[in-house]
Amino acid sequence: VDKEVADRSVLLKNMLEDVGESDKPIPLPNVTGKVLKKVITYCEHHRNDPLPQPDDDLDDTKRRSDDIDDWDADFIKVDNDQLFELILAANYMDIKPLLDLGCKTVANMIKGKTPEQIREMFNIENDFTPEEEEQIRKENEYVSLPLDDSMMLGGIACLLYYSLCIANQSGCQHYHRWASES
Amino acid sequence: MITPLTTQPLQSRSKPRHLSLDVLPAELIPSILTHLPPRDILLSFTVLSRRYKQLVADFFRPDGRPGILVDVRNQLTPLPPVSPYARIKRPIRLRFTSTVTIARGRRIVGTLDIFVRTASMAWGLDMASLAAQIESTSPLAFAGLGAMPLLRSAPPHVLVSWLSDPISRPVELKVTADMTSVLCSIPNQPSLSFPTIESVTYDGAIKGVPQHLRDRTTGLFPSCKHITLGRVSCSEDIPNMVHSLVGKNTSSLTDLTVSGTGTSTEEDGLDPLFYELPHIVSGLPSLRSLTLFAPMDWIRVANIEESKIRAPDDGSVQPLRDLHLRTSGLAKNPSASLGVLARSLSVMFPRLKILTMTLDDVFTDRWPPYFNIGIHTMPKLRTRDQLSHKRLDHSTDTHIPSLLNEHILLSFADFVSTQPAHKVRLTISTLAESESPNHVKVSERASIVKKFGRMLCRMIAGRGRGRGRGKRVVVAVDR
Repeated sequence: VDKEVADRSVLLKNMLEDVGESDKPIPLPNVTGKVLKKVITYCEHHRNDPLPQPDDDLDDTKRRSDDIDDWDADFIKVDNDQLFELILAANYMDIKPLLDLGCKTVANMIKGKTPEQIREMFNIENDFTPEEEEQIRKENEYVSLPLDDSMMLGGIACLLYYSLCIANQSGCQHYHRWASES
Repeated sequence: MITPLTTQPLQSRSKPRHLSLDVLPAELIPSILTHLPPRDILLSFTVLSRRYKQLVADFFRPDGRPGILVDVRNQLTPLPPVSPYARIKRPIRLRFTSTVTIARGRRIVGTLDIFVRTASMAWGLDMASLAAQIESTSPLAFAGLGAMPLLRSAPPHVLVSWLSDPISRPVELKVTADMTSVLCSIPNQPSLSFPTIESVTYDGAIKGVPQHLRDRTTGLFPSCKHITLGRVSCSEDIPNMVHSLVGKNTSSLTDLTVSGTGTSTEEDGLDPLFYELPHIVSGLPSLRSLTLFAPMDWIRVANIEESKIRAPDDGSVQPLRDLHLRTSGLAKNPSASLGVLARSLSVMFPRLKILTMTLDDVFTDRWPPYFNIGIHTMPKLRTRDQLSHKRLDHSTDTHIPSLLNEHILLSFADFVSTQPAHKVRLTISTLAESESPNHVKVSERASIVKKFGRMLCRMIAGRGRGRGRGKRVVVAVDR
């Protein structure tokens, strides 16, 4: 593997800097051969990409999961086992763009699914007791209430509406009149 | 050369038949959660198992509660998909954001919109009481006031109180010249400033910077990170306008959005703003992201004179990372227009990382007849080899260009390859404002754009390690 490709991994880059010029093999005990081949394919394709900067992480608001380019989307079309192994390898070898791609892919698989579907897809055992499940369902009622087209939330809105009326007497009459007009 | 030493999988003996999401360590789960919509986190992810319930609680630090912001709006404030004139049925709404954001050190899942009829009702709200009510009646945490556009008619002492109070001070403030005038006229406080406000939208800058702001020695918002200048006149000195709001030290400012107004700059004898981009960047050396939403004649892509293009001064502390241009009018020669644009950007911003271009009126009358040909009338694309520049003779290409035409595709592929950014995001609007029988149907536009994106990506990937190597392009539909 070219040094340029190996340098995509921060782990390898640091090891190479420590070891210096050498033909000795570098052990990667936590990565299988099959996964390593896949990781090398990724690194070779992205060998000319600019290295991620420390401040790239700062702005979470700009994180998007729908801007995966075509090659990456094809590359990551693997079964779940390999996807998790790739994520683990990327984490171990410190290849941030590959780790990000794996996490985005998992997130895209979760979006819009019910808990049962996610459990089945990712082989997760439900260890809640029925009482705990009921408790969680109650806690999340404020999220799961039926929403209208503008994302109206009924329960909490009513609570806050009346709370606001009490808290703010000057505005209360306006609200009541307005609500009755509506 | 480095020889990878592949090893046998250590876990092969005990490996289960299918790996579970549980194999991912806890520290990786937040990386997945940051890409999930809040509704999926709260309704699905948190109820998977005890492990994920705890991880979600850890995600919403410091106390496990998702945060919400409160926006005070007037009743005609448009809320998508409600039209500006739709009747607001209820005075309070909770909107979930599309992704989890961060404000004041807390992860935010949504906004509580409170609709009021008059400004006096807005600044009469008891925010402390509202915060207490939210926290006592829901598992959500009040993270503060999000937007507060109605303060301009408040008395000065109310304004100062709102903007200084830890509970009521908004994260994002929309100000007008009238409001700044009120703040600047407060007696005995010539250096009044609000260092906790991080985001300011200055609306109505068409008349330029008011004198009362120019006269100040300190900025009203000295720690501002994001500024949006709305309705800026094309003749305005933008760095000067920013200095008047932030002060001379703009080291905190990282994001600037300029929304322009006005008609043809030729009538005023002024150059399009495009030439002024290096001046803006030089004047604001900490700027990392610049967005320019301007009328089409501010960036006349077809008429760029390369002799007028210059690089920013060397004073920039950091290079501009993101540039977002909203543009249209590639005119009758897209290849040449995009080529000039790419060369100009390379001179102006050689170390640009992400270039976003929003193409506004691809499917409207203003771009006749380039993109108005239906998908089925397009000639079949040739093979990858045939699509190389050597084989394609532009001079004899008599096809009417369309978004899926080889000529257009090659022009965009060349543009992506030669412009300076590593990643190009093209957003093509499919708005329905001028649908006519001769145009592509609105229902077909999104699929055309998607197909254009796929073909463009394939074309760029096919260029291998030659020109434009390592460049990425993402094409998105703006509905």
